Amino acid sequence: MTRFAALAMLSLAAGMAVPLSAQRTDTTFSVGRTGTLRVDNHQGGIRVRGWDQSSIRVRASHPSRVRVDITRSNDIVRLEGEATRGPARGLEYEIDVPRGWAVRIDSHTGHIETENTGGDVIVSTVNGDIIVAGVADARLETVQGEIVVNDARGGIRASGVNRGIRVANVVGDVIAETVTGTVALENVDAARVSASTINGSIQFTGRIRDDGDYSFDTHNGDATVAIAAGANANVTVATHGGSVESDFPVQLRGDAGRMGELQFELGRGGARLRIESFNGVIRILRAGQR
Amino acid sequence: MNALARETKPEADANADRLDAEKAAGGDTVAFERIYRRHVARIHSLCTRMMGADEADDACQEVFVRAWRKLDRFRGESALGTWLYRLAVNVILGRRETIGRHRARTVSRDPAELPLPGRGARVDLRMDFETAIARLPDGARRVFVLHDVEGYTHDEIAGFMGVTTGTTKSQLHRARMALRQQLD
Amino acid sequence: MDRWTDRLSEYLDDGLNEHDRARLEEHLAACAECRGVMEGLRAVIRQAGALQDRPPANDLWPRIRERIEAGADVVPIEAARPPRGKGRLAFTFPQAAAAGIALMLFGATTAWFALRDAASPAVVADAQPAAQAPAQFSFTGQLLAPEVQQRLTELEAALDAARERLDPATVAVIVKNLTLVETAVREAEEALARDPANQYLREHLVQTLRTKVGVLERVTDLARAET
Repeated sequence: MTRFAALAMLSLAAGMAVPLSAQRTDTTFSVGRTGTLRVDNHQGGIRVRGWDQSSIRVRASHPSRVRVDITRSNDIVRLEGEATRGPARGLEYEIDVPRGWAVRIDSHTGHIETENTGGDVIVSTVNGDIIVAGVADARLETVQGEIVVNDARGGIRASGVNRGIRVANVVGDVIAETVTGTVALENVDAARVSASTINGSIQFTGRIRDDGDYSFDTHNGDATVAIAAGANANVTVATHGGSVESDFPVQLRGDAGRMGELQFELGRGGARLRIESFNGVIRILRAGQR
Repeated sequence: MNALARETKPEADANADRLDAEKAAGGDTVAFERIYRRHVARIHSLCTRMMGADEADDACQEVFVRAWRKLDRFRGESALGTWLYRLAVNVILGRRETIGRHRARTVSRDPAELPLPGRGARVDLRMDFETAIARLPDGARRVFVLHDVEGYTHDEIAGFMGVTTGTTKSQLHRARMALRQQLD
Repeated sequence: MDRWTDRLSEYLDDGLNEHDRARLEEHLAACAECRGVMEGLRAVIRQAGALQDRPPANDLWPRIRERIEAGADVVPIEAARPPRGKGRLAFTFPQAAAAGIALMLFGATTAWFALRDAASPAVVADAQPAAQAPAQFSFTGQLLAPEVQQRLTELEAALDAARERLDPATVAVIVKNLTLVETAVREAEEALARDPANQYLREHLVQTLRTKVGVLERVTDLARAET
């Protein structure tokens, strides 16, 4: 053991990340057309891309005291970092999987990105952004980071805490919730949407299906919903300290609905559309106009 | 441990545990193997009862690998076995799905769940006691295994699972009533 | 019969007080059906205690040894190990104060702050669960479904233990956001107090409380993952 390595070990034990000489792993192995990739990574970025090969390529860089452990069981491929002591830190992945494979990532710290994997994606992390593009269903949760979803054919469930959520170009139901940060949903074609935040705004543009259920709820932010001209919806708006602005004529019904809410119809009525902001401004816009 | 706990380890084993833990924390894998041999039956059985045979091997390995990494944090204030079992319980409880936790919002259909390894229909037709336990609903099974099989108290179990003893007591009763019917 | 059989487990575990135990025993003397159930439960407990532990069918040691010996070229870090008996790193309150979190006197999260300082360990026992909040916040108790209310209480009770296990940065973020949620809860409750028939406010309060449950569950899950 060199003196350098011994000192590095001491620093590691003291909790500082002293990079030992970086090592690289680059391995490719063939797999079936369908399967699940599982990555458990304590600290380090992860990027997964879909490709047309019947194989998985794993490229990783890591300190020499960390090693990539690849296990296969039936059609599940599992990647995990192993360190001689403590959690594996500093392990960065770039992984190519056959398009259509499902991806499941459990992480703690690090940026996570998937690109055109085409299948379901499940990500759970604490300190990391989650950027996902080209997926079927996605279930994503983080604490510190932002969540971005683009191009999905399936249900999206995104749960953040400290940052916002952006979802665009989705055919499928969406549930997006955070505490701090804006929830922005763009070009969403869903039967059900639920968006909520406490300290942030909500923005929605998308299709309002006649039998759909759409709910937007913020405490301290504005809620802006852009609706196409022919939409048929029963709209409920509610605010405590804020106000409502509408591009559409709002004719209140005789009984004025329940206490604290305004209800009106768009078109023939149909969809259930609920927009609430405790302190902010509710805006109902004609799509295409600003 | 309550009165129903298994017989405690003979004193010789407890001493051996202490000495081997000290050595293993310093990197002695032979000492750690001795620890493994002494405790694997109980840890693996716990994993099997809590998670099913398919995942038990995996979970059991996980427990020991984690134990190896954390041995320098084992302070000796409890018996090594107790410490290991506690670690096993944490590993086991931590392996259930954390995503899609019930948020009780008014809307909705959840996006599809990915199939997890080992979750398939069990074809075992013998209704022995172990099988009956495996068929209990998750929460009730875990509380039953931890209380009646492993001997943890309601206070301890409530602590592990982040619930009140009120919950653990009703889960336990539910499990026992269900098992009683399956034994008849 | 349920009224009696529901308590049989507690009885068998010596969990009933004298009075209840006496009444149950009185009932058992007269009710053969309940006696039957009790014997059944006893049999279950006996069987559970008699289960044998079996080692795994496959020897798992070689695989375990492989995993722990990865990096065998590295000398074990005995010299670098922290000395025994050293306490683990404590989460210090001044970090949270530095993050600009205002002190408030309601909610389990902030009650914890009010009671704890850098030098002393967490005073878990004194944290007020939401059910005992001051009278002006009674809406919470009224409006939440019992199972959600109970979940909230359980989670708040587990909060301190959970937080001890997380790194300070994560704790700070979670605390900051929990405080935001609790501020929103308080605002909703104050508004509802002035306008009790307001349906929106009632539901908004409930939804905000459920958001709180969601964040607390996230914390508990994270803490469980950090053994």
